[in-house]
Amino acid sequence: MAGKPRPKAGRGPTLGSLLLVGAGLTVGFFFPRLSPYSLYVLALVAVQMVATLSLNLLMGYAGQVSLGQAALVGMGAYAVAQLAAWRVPFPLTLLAGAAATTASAALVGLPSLRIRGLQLAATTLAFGIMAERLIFARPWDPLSTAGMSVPRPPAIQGDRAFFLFALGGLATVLVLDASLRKTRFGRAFLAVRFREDTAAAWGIPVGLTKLLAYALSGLYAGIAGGMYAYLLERVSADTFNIWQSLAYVAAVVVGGLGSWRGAMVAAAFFTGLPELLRSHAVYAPLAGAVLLALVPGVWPEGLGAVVDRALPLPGPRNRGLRTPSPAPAPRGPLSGKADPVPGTNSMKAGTSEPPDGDGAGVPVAVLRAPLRPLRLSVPVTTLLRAEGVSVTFGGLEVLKGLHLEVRRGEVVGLIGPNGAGKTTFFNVFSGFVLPRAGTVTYRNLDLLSLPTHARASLGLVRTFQQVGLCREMSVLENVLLAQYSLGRYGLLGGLARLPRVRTQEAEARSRAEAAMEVMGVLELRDEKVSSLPYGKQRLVELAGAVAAGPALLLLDEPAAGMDPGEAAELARHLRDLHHELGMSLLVIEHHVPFVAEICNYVYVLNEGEVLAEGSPEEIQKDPRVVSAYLGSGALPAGQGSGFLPANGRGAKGRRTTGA
Amino acid sequence: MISYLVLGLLTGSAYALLALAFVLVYKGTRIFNLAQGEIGGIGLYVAWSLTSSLPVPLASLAGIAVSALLGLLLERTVVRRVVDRTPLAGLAATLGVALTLAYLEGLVWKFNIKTYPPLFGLGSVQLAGVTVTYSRLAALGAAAAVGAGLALFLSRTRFGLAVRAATSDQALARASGVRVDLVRSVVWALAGGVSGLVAILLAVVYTFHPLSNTFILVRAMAAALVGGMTSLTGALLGGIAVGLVESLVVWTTGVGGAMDTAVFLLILLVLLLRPGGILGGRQA
Repeated sequence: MAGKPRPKAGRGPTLGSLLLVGAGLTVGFFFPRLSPYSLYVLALVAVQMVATLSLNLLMGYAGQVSLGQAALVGMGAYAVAQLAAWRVPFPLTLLAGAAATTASAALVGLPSLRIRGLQLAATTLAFGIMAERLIFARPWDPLSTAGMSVPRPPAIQGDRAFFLFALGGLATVLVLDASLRKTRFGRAFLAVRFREDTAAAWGIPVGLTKLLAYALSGLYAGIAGGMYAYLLERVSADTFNIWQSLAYVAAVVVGGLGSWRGAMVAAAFFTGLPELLRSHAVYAPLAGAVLLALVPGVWPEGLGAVVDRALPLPGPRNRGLRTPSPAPAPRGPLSGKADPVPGTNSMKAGTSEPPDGDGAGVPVAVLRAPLRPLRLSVPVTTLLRAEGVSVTFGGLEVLKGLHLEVRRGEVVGLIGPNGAGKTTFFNVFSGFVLPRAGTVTYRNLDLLSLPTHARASLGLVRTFQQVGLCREMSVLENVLLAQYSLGRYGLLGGLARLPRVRTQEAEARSRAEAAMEVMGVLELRDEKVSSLPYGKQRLVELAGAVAAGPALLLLDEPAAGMDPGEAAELARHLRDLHHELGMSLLVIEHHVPFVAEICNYVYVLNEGEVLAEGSPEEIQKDPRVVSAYLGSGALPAGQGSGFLPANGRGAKGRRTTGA
Repeated sequence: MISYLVLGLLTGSAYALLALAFVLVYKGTRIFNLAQGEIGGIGLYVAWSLTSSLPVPLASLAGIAVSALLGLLLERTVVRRVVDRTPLAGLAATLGVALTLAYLEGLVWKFNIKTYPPLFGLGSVQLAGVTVTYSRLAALGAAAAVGAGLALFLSRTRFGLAVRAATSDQALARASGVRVDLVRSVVWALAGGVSGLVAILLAVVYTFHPLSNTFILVRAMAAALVGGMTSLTGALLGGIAVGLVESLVVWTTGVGGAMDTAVFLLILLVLLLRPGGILGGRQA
């Protein structure tokens, strides 16, 4: 995270670190005494750990099920074998083989752009079988029917030397994996796994992210394959068959999806057990199969959860991507330079109600920092303008030529009865629905030609009516995730942990902390979102949206499901955002007093048309609006009906033309 | 050419039946049941053991019953725990079941390749100049009969209605008095029985070994996907299509591996062009 060391969570050496030191000493003692066979088994375990980590990345991080991973490992192995046969010098064979596998994996991932879930899994199974039968079983070596031989280069010829080489390969992949988890790309994988729509709304290019996951998984698999080829000194089709693929799936599931430590333990178990049982070796895969059948139903967190409990790593950020700690760990001072707010340092759970009133004391400075270089030369007064927007769903006209305008600095309300088309209108803005006709511009850019994630990265950020968060992740992880499009570093830089990457990540963290504090959820930062009450989840989503640094924030029923107290608090927060951060807001809301309190202009939709527009007072007096809400002739127009407060506090009067 | 067509039709109808069972389970529990093939495999092995002491048709029926019971048992134990979790949980658990069953087959009956005795003696008839054994003919007939029977059962009976209700909206089905748990059990038992039949039909024509039924399942899955996963007619037609394509590919190229490639390309093509399958609904 921040470049400087953070104080460790525990006091003194933990049980885990003691065990690790003990294991190190044991290995150090036994290593010179190990038999060649034990060294072979240990090297094999290392190879299979890398292969399992490759599937863990794809399935556990990015949520893309692959039932043909052994085929990718096989491609790495065959590539190295072929390169070695072409007399390519040793370390280069591994690098080129891994590169070739990375490229093939990206190709294998192409169907994921079109199909997902179980259908995708079926194509990977077919791919695995095809690769085994068609590619690996080809007569590669004219002199031998059983695959190709791969002579070990002198550097890794001895058993001990080879073991160290395998260990080095494993360490390389572990370091890569650890770096990946700390980058915006690692977080994007998880977002794609848990909620594709949220990922896109937060500026994550979903398709590209999937391909990236395939490519990186291919990189690991290629490394594993190269090591495998040199370990066996031969490649043949029966090593990389469909059963091996399924064994990798078993290891990842039994280890706990997305838990790199669980994946390693499971890989060691699945690989080592048959060797330990020797004469009863057939019982080992049986045991593995029974485990696989039972784990998803009985014990879905897998071995990783056990390891995490037994050997906790310092700080939640070092955990596998999957499991944020359920309880906030004791923390040292917040990272990030010069805490903008005195008082944050001593925050403890339960004591931090956000400061009331006009937002004094809220660390908005961090959030206000200039974000994205605008690629626009002309300052615009109109942020969002929609004209003649029509949407049809299967012949039903849902939106009928709607118009809407949000100017810089405005808070615009969008109200209307259920089914009026409010959320559909939002979906047009954020790119989930393509209108049949009409134009939508944002800062004079044609919005409709841009994909969802590109809209978010221009500063058009939305929230969802059903909270759009990754429920399995912590509050902090979600708020970091929301800042994806603010990151300016690439994948390679991120994997190398370049200094600028660390700086940017520290910035993202302090933005996240500021946004969480603004929304009063800072003390929940390490809680899993799914464990929070609904009202808090909404605040977390808002914190994410704020951290993403929007110029225009689209809020879909932000007060839904909140009690009046919470709603009043939310209204305060929104006013703070508007005043302090200069955000413009477009708010869908049923709760009319809420709208009247914060909005200075309101559009009323009914049955896909704009029924009325104007200041909250004007809307209140409009008889058509009242009848749309309450049924025709239900009440005398507006008077004392409680439909709108007599004078909305936040109403700022009629919209004036010009800036 | 004709003989390849006949062979394709025969294996295709077996794939179609297994695809039917697969789709039935998917509709009933939203689980991609990777164990569907091996549930039949266990029945096949039991039937094979019984053929030494019972007439072959009777032993086969007993094997089918074992498969149905196994399906029921699995639904009550493993499936019930994963049915409301993520799709991956169901996939992983049934994969574990498939491997467990395959290893059990290997441990109990050895891992070698076996042949199944002919169902109805060794006689044969001439059809369009092609020799077709009684067993193959019977297999074709059984496939057609069971397929038609299942389709009628699901479309014309109250239980069929209950299955469709339980799969389209569980809560609503429960509220209207459909016993969703019972429906699930019956679906799994039914599918188990059908896969037992398929395993035996194919064992009569080809050889079998532990896991051979999972290879068959891959083709049935292809058929189900091509047919759209939720359409029973689609699954039937898809199964016959896969059988024919496979047979034609072997005929034109003579390469066994090309078969898998063809199946892979077929799945890929259909899914990419029509993610919902040929006859599937709008939801993929």
